[in-house]
Parts: sequence; C-alpha cells; structure tokens
Amino acid sequence: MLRHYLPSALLLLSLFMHAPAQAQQSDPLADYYGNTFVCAGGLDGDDACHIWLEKDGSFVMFGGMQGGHHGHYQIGPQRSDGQLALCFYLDTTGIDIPAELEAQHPGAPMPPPSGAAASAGQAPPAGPPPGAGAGMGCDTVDFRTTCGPGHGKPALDAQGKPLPLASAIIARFHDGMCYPMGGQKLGEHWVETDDPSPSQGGKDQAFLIPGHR
Amino acid sequence: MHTLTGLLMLTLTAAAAQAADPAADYYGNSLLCKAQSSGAVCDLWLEPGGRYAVFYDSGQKAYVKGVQGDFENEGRTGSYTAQATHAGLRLCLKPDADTPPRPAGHSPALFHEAGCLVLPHHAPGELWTLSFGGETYRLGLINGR
Repeated sequence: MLRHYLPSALLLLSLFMHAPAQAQQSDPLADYYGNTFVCAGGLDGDDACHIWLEKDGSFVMFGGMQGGHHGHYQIGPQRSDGQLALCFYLDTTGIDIPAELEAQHPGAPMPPPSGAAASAGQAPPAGPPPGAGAGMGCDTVDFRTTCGPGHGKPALDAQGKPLPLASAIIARFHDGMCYPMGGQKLGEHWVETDDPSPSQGGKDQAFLIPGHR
Repeated sequence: MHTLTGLLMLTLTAAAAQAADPAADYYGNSLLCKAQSSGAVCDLWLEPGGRYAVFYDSGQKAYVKGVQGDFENEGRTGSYTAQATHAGLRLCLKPDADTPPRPAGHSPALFHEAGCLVLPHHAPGELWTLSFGGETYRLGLINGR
C-alpha cells in the first residue's frame, strides 16, 4: 500500500519544495533587492534618485533631498504592461540642516548627453527630479500618481510659501508617490514613459545597477 | 528601598551601556559633511551592530552615462568599528564592495574608502572643521534622518 502511494507522495513533496524557489523567480522585484535603482531625467538624463529596495517592504532613497531617507513601500496590482504599481512613503518629513551644511548645486549645467535629450530634439528643461516639483501638486488614485496643474496641493510651508525643492521632494514622498516598476533585470537601462510628472516629457530614464551605489 | 535600588541599577546599566558603545550618539542621527571647495555634501549613518551607510551629492550636474554610472548621487554601505579615544571617536570603515573611486571633482571622498579616522568629541548640533585628503570639510551631527 505504502509502495503504491510513495511515488505520488514524493512528487507532491518535490513540488512543495520547489514552490519557494519558483515564487522567488516570479517576484518582479527580485533583482531590485540588495541593488540600486537609479532614476534620471527622461530628457536631460540627470541623476535624480537612488533607491535601495528591500524585500521586507522598506527602502532607502536619496538624491535631490540631501542625504538618505528611510521609507516603506506598498505594492499595488500588476498593470497590463506587466509592471507593478509601487508606492513609496518616506518615514520622515526631513531634518533641520544648518545653512553651513546645506547642499548647493554650483556651476552651470553640463550640456545634455548625445542620447535621450538629443533624440528628443529639444534642450533639457531645468526642472526638479521626476514627479517631485515644489510648485505643483500630485494626486494618487488606485496606486497611480499624477502631478501637475489641477492635481493635489503644492508643497507649502506654514506661511503658505512654496517649500525649498529638497523639502518639497521629501514632503511629496512622505505623502506617497507611486511609480510603475518591476520586471527588469540587473544591469538593464530602460525608459519609463509613465512618470507621474509632466516635466522631463513624462519620462524617466531608469537603471538597475549591482550593489548599493 | 527595593525600588530605589532597582532604579539605581537601571541607571547604572544604562550608563554602562552608553559608555560601552562609543557610537551611541550617532544612532538614528545624521553626520553631515560639506566640502568647502566644491560644496559637495555627505550624510553618514551609523547603525547599532556595526553597519553603516553613507550618501553623497557631488553638487555636479552629472548625467548618467551608463549602468556603471557617473553619478551626481552616490551611496555605499559597509561595516565599521568604533573606539573611544582621548581625541574622539576612532571610526574604521570597511565598504561592502570596492566600487570605483570618486571621479575627479566629485568630492567628498570622506568616508568613501576603507580606512580609519578620528571624529573629535562634539555635541549634536555643533559644527566643526576636519581636513581630509587635501579637502576641508565642515561637519555636524544632526538630530534625525
């Protein structure tokens, strides 16, 4: 009797044992964990953000907001293009940085690279990192963030003045910003055409690079 | 009486733990630096257990040229040891990976490579000056992250 059922039992056991490995392979974010996602302006290619995504739902983000910041993310439903809607929430509203230690961006911008901006046939607009401008608002509905005129509220200080850019970016991400992500492999460079912000032509250049950079 | 003894022991234990961990002031806070010649900035986090992360913004409009990058923003992680000395906190860093050196003009290089340096004693919020690698930095331990 036992001998009769043994092959079936072994087959079932092997299926169960392989299940975790298959689940890991099918995680569209698997190559993000422990590595660095870099976002850059869709037109000017300027380095705008670095994200260290962890499997436990936390992340560290830096770029344009002086220093690193912890946060947590939520994953929305898979979209028709196969990507996930990933919503980022910074756990901080920023720290008080003495003026002497504040980041500045000296020097004139470099000319655009021969790639994206040139192919777009226009000069790169001087603008904030994707989706995080100080003077515009953003709405998030069903794991999709849209920024621009008529959306949300501009990021303002207690006196009603627009926040400095770095603080505005932090405020935006504290409230939550959703981006399509996932499915890419380590070493890939791609253009995301569904950026929440209309600046940079609504595009992001994206890179997935090894390790923490 | 027992309550007083308990409180005293609790206080002593907390004080001993603080003394035993010379990097305790850094946990949950940010050690910010700014290179005086270039304006580039950095942000160092020390975690309990000997892990660290450091974030740089070179201040240059560095366009991303490829997966290897020539990034305006850079970060790295690694492990550290900390030791209290008369001069301050002797901090030895060991990055997780040998990433390319900072491109020319992309300072700061502070906390970038493996090595040790001494951070003088300063209260949180106090700023001070440090010379490293031919560059002068202003530094400050700032509350929060």
